[in-house]
Amino acid sequence: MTSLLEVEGLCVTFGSGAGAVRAVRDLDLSVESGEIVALVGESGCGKSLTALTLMRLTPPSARVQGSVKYRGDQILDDKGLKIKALRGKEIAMVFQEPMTSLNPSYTVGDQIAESIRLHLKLPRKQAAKQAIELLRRVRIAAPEQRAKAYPHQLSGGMRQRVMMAIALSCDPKLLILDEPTTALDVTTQAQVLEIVDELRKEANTGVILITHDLGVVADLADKVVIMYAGSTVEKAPVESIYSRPSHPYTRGLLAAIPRRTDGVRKRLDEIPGTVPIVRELPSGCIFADRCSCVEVDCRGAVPKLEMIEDEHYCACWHPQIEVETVSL
Amino acid sequence: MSAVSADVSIVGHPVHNQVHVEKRYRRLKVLLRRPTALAGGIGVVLIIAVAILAPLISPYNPTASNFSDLFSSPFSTGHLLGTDQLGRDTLSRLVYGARSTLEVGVLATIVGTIVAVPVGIISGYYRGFVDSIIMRITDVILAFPFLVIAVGLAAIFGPSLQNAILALGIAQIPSVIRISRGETLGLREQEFIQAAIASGASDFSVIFRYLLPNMMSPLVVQASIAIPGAILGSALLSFLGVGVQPPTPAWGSMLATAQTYIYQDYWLAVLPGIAILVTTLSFNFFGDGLRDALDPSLS
Repeated sequence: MTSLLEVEGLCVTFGSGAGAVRAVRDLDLSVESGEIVALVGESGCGKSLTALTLMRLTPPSARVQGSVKYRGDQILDDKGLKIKALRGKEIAMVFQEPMTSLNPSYTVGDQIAESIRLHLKLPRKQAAKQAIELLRRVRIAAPEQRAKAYPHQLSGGMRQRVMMAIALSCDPKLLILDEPTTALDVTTQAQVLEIVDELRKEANTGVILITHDLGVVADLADKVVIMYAGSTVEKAPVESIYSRPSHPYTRGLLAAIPRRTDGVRKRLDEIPGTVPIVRELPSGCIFADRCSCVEVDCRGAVPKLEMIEDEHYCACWHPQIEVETVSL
Repeated sequence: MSAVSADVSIVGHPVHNQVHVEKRYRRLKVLLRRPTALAGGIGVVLIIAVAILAPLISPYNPTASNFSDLFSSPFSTGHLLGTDQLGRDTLSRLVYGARSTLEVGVLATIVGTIVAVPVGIISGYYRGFVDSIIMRITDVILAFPFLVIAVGLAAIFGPSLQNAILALGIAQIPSVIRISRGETLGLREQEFIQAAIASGASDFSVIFRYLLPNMMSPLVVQASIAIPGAILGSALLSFLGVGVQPPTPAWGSMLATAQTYIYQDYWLAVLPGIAILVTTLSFNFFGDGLRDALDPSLS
C-alpha cells in the first residue's frame, strides 16, 4: 500500500559551491491517511522551510532535491505543475502568522467562498452559504455575522480559525499546519487542536504538524520527527519519543518543559547555546557543541540516522536507550 | 437573536462594522482638518462643478465673436471679465476651458494608470527577465522628454485632444509602473499572498484580488498628484498649439493668444493664468492632504 505522502532524501540548498547552505538535509518522512506527523525543533531548524518545500512555495533561489510522492505519484517536478493542481484542493496549508495571512481587503466570508468557488466550482450563493458552515465547523460563534467581518476586526485566534476554514474548504486529503498554535493563547490553542483531531478522525485527513511545543505533540501526534539545524536527529512513534528519548537533543527538549512538580524556585532546564548557523556547521555531529554527553569521537564523523528499535530512528553516536519515563 | 448576542458576549469579539465606518470617517476628518487640504478639496469640487455646469454658468457662447465689442476690460457692461481680440466673452471661455483642461488632465491620468498598473504588478510579481525588460523600457520612456513625444504625436497624427491625452498619459507611465512595482515587491513577501498561492489561487486572481486592492491607496494618492501635473501639461500643449485646437477654448491657448496683447490688455493673459494656478494648486493641496490622511502610520 502506498502512503499518502512519501518524502525521501529531501534536500533544500541555497547558493552553490563553497557558499552553499543546506537548510534541509536528507529528510525522510511518510504520512498515512488519518495520521498526524509532528515536525519538532527549535527556531531555524528548517521545519517551516520543509513545509514550504512540500507546497513548492520556496523562493526561486532554493534548490530542491529528493523525492516527494503523493499517493505514489512523484510531485517534485521541474516546473511545479503537479503541485499546482493539488494546492488547496488535495493538499492545504495553514500558515504560522494568523495576523498577516488573510487578505486585508476582503471579508473573511468572501475569502473562504473564493476558495470554495475555485475548487468546487459552486455558484456564488452556495459558496457563501458553505463558507458560513465552515466558520461554524471551526467553532466561530455567530458565523453569519463574522463572515461579513474584515480580518482586522477579528482576533488572532479567530483569524487562525478562519485560515483553518479556508484550508478545510475543499476537504483536503493532506493538511500541513505550520505552527498553528504559536500565536494563540492556551484555550484557543486547545480548540484549534481539537478541530485538527476531529478532522483526522472524521475525514481521515493526513496531517503534518509543525511545532516547537512538545506538549501539543504528546496529545495529538502519531509520529514525531525531531529536526535540528536542517537534519533529522530522531524519528519515532510518539510513545517511544516520550518513554525512550534517545537523542540528547530530544532529551533536552523534553527536560525543558516546565513541570508542576518542579516547584517555584527551580530554574528551568535549558539546552545551552543556540542552533548553529547552517553555513557554519561543526564537523562531525552537528549537535556536539551543545550536547551534555559529548565524547571525543562525536566530532569525527556525522552520525547517520539508524534504527535503534522498531520504528525508532536516531542519529547519535551514543544513543541512550535505557528506559526512562518522562512525565508531562 | 438572543442566542447570537449571548455568543458574542461570551467570545468577546463583537463585530464592529461601525468601527470600520468610523475609521474611514476619521480619515476624512483628518483630511479636512488641514486648512490647505480643505481649501484644496473645495477648489477641486468647485472646478469640477464649473466644468460640468459650464453651459448653465457661462453667460455667453464661448466661441461666438462680437466685433463691435473687442478688448472690453473686466467689469465692463455685459462682460464680467471682459472680451478678447474677437469679442468673445472671457468668463465663458474660462468656464468652458475648465472642461477641456480637466478632461485632458483626468483622462491622461486614467490612461496612464490603467496601462501602467498591470505592467508594474507583472514586473514586480514575476521578477526576473520580464522585470528587467519592463524596467529598461521604463527607463527609456523616462529619458524621453514628454514634449518631444507630444510634438511628435502631433506631427504624425495631427494636433488634437486625443493626442494630447495620449502624450500626457505616456509621460505618466514610468512613475506609475515604479510605484505599482514597488508595492508589489513589498506585498508579494506577505504571508497572505503565500497563503493564497497555497490555497490554489491562480496568478490572475493573486494579481487582481490580492495585489491590486491592497495597493489602492498609494495609487489614489499618485493619481491625485499626477492630475495637476497633467493639467499643467495640457495647458503647456495648448499653449504650444499641439493640444486642444481653436476655436474650442482652452486655458493654454488663451494664454498663448494673449501674449500678443500683453502690454495693452494684460488681463487676457492674467485670467487664464490664475485659472491654471488655482486649479493646479487645489489639486496639489488636496493630493498632499490625501497622502497624509491615507498614511497608515497615522492610525
